[in-house]
Amino acid sequence: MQELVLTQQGSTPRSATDAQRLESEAATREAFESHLTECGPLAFRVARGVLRNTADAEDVAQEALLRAFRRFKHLRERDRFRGWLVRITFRLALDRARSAKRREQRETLWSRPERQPPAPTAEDLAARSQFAQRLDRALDELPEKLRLVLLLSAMQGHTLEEVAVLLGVPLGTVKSRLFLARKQLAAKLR
Amino acid sequence: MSCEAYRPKLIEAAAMPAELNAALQEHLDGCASCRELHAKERSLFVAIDAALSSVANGESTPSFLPRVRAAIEQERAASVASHSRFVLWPVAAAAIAAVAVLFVVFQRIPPQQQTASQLAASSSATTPATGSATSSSTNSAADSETGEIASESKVAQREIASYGVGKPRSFSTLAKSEGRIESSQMPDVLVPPDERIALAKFVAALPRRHEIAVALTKPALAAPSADVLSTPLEIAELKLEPLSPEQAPSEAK
Repeated sequence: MQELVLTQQGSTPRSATDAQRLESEAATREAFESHLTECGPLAFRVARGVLRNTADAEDVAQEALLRAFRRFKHLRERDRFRGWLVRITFRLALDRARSAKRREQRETLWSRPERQPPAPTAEDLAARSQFAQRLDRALDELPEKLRLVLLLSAMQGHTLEEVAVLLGVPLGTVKSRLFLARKQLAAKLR
Repeated sequence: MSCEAYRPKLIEAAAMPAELNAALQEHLDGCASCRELHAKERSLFVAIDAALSSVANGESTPSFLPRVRAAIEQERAASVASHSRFVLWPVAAAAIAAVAVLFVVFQRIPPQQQTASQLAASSSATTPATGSATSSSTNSAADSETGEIASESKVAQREIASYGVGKPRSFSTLAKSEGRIESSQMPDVLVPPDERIALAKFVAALPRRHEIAVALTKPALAAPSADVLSTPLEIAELKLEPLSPEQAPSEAK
């Protein structure tokens, strides 16, 4: 859009190099737009799987997509864009979760009782079942590699082969990580 | 094989649903407690899968992708603007550098035209005797000394004009402008205009007073050798007399 405005103001490309650059940028934009439509929801789901909060997950996914956009023209193998985006999003989501946890601990430590948020009501507690809360805690305690495999394999439409391609690891590694993750999760929930 | 030995395998089988092997299936058929454990584990993993599915398959709000596109457009516009700034900065820096260089160059050029006119006024004002000598030289051609001084004065005026005496300038500045010294070698000493005029006169008169010029500008001799320094031996008591005919050598005869 910015280049379109410049063209309307009469600043035509001064050389063949400029024209090539503009063409290249337009092609890159088009390619990224198609990737955005396809992979945007995936980034959101990865972030939500870690954060379990829609608003935070959208913020993190947006940040990950912006980072992907900044580096997109330097990406040689664009077939690997999905895996690349998944890893960026997962890392950002983990960082967000950790900083939120630290902030929560700090506020709990320093805030006075009268300034603390009100305790959850019965409706709030009913909204989240006890099992879901335990599952959240158990997921947070899982190692990162196991947690990512578990989340990706739980997403609809992802076979284990696709998860292996996304993460760039052999199929056997995905299976073993998934097995370990489920066992550890069950052990925490049992 | 006891039930305790089968239980880990039953849990693993529940974790990764697959065909149970024959031995395990046979034990389950015959053991109610293991069958119950297996069913319990299966239900646990079904609950885990359901909860994971709800966690992992959440839908974003409809405004999510448009918001991301807007953020990307904003990012792109910012990058284009920063690119423009990146292009403009060197141009601006080059212009500033050019202006600075021109300023320095104009500061260092001596104001020659102005000094020449000032020189005439200052030399006539400061050296009235020379001025009268100049007029007398035109009247009396026989007075060669006066004429010489007058011509020296004219030459001096030209020299002074070439040096520029519009204002008091430091010796180091003069020397720097002539490239005789490095800027860091000489302290900054102010030289009054009258002294500089006198120096210029002296320098202008040097070619006419050749001997003085040679003596002043001739490099010092190296240390003379001992042969040159040794004076001839003089003995006061020694008296030389011509030979008598008897004492003349035989060859003379």
